[in-house]
Amino acid sequence: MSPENLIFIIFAALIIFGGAKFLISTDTVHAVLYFFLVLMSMAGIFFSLSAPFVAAMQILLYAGAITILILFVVMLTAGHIPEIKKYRANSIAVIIMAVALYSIILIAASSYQATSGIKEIESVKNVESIGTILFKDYIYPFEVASILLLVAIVGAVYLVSEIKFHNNKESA
Amino acid sequence: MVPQSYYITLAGAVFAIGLIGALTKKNVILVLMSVDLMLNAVLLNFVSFAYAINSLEAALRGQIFSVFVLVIATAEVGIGLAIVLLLFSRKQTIDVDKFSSLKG
Repeated sequence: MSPENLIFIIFAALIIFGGAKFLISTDTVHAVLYFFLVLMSMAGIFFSLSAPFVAAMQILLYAGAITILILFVVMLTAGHIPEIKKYRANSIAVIIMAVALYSIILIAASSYQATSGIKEIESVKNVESIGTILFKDYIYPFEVASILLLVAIVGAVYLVSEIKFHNNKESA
Repeated sequence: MVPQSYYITLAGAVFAIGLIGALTKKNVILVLMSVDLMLNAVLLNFVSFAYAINSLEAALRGQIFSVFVLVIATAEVGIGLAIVLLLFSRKQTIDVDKFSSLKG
């Protein structure tokens, strides 16, 4: 077994394990941690696919930003929940549907024959070349993405500031 | 070298897990996380197909698209969590089935 296959199998097993535990765990914080495990293993697979920039972004954004943010919101809300039933009523139908979808993907994937691949992208040059292409050919999408992030920041601050105002008014 | 179909299969599995989570979980935060898992499955497809393509230029373009997907996922989570906090302060719950004010 080549080291590439071994790496893939390890990370894929971690992803499936984390995903399954994410679905069945009863504790919200545990679910967040398994979600984190899935995302980090995904970053490992991105590394093995010679995409170190995407992997670094994945670790930075998901570990540094999203998981922490989600944990904050869980801490802010979870203590006050009376008693949530774990799953909604339609769970069985949903699981059947998802398994059907997955088997369709499986059939499609098994008939897909990709022969060639890049054997080595020079990882050192990866970030540099991505930057060049990003600022040459994708400069407009890049600007649109930055405006999107700005709108997201302003929107989030606006929504949360409304909460504060609401609470102050109630307590006053 | 790992066959391309393995990556598609793994991405399909992650997508199915995210779909199950998004439609069966009752906690709004977990539903948001499941949507993120589905976005990550798409990301894996982008990166693995970029790897399978035989030119460096095309591979880098695939990776750039996945970076854009990541940016949009981050914006979505930020806004989504702000909305969750707002809903929680109004309704005192984060159970998705309780948000049915528009129901006739």
